[in-house]
Amino acid sequence: MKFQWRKWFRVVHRDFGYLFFGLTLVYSVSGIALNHLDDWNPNYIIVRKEIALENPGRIYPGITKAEVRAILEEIGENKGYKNHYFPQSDQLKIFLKGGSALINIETGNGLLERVDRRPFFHEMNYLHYNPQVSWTWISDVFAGALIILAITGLFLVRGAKGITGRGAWMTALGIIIPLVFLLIFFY
Amino acid sequence: MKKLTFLALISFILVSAGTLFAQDNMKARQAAVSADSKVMVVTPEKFQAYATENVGKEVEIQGMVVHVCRHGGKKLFIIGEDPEIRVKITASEIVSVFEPDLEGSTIYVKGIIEPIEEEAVPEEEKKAEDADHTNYYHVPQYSISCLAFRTIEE
Repeated sequence: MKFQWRKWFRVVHRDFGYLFFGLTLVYSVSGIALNHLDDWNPNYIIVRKEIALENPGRIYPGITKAEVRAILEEIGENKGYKNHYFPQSDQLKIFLKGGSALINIETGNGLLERVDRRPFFHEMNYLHYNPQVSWTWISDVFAGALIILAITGLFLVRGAKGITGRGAWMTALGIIIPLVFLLIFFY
Repeated sequence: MKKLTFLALISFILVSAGTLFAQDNMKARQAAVSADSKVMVVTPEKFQAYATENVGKEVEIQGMVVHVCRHGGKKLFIIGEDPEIRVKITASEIVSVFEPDLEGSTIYVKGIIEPIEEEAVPEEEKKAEDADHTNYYHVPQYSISCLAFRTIEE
């Protein structure tokens, strides 16, 4: 009995398509997000607010945690104090749960920063960055599956719209585009 | 029905493998942190001097996290007694990401000393509020590739 390779290509292409649908979305969505880091931060929503503190003269190098908490209460951040330090002689940095405040101790002016994870994109990017060795294995399997999907996809259709007709032109175009880019920008 | 069972089986195998790998990885990391090895312990203040002769070697260090990279969590900075001296800790294959929640916490880090590398300031970090990035974080310096870390004080 003759081996029906085209039938098996269809089966593999179909089932791999189903199986790797989720991973394709993970990598494509996070890929687009990471391509545009200049325009936005896909991982976190960062909100910065200017603050002004009255009587900044009470801030001194040995300021206690209780005194820092009192300052935070004044600016409406009475919960979530973690730690503080002086990055420069005229600056007090207070770390909060989910943010921080940087205060100029001479002027009392400062910046309150709140950092929240951006829902959905944070998780997608976490996976994109290969968070664990085990995930690297999964992403390798996915990469291999994409190669198989690409190859089997070439031979799904017979005839004029298949790889011997329209498919050949489309495939050639898909190869030429990166080649042209390489010729212009790389070589 | 058979096909559905086949797909469910493959999915189960993949998820199980992932979970097992993750557990192994976590155990390995915890073991690495708790192991009573003869790794040199340095303070942040002495790190740069120590690193000049010890690139590629393991080191342990402890300090307060003053900054975690917001754009991918691939690096953080710790200080000791002197806030002007910051040590750069970078993510690795084992510890691949740091969360900003670490800022303000004191952490213990075990890692490999990396050589000085020129680092360009990314466009997204050239804003006024990111002045520290230019002045501290992208300055050429020895760094530590993190093999393991744990929080000592929240």
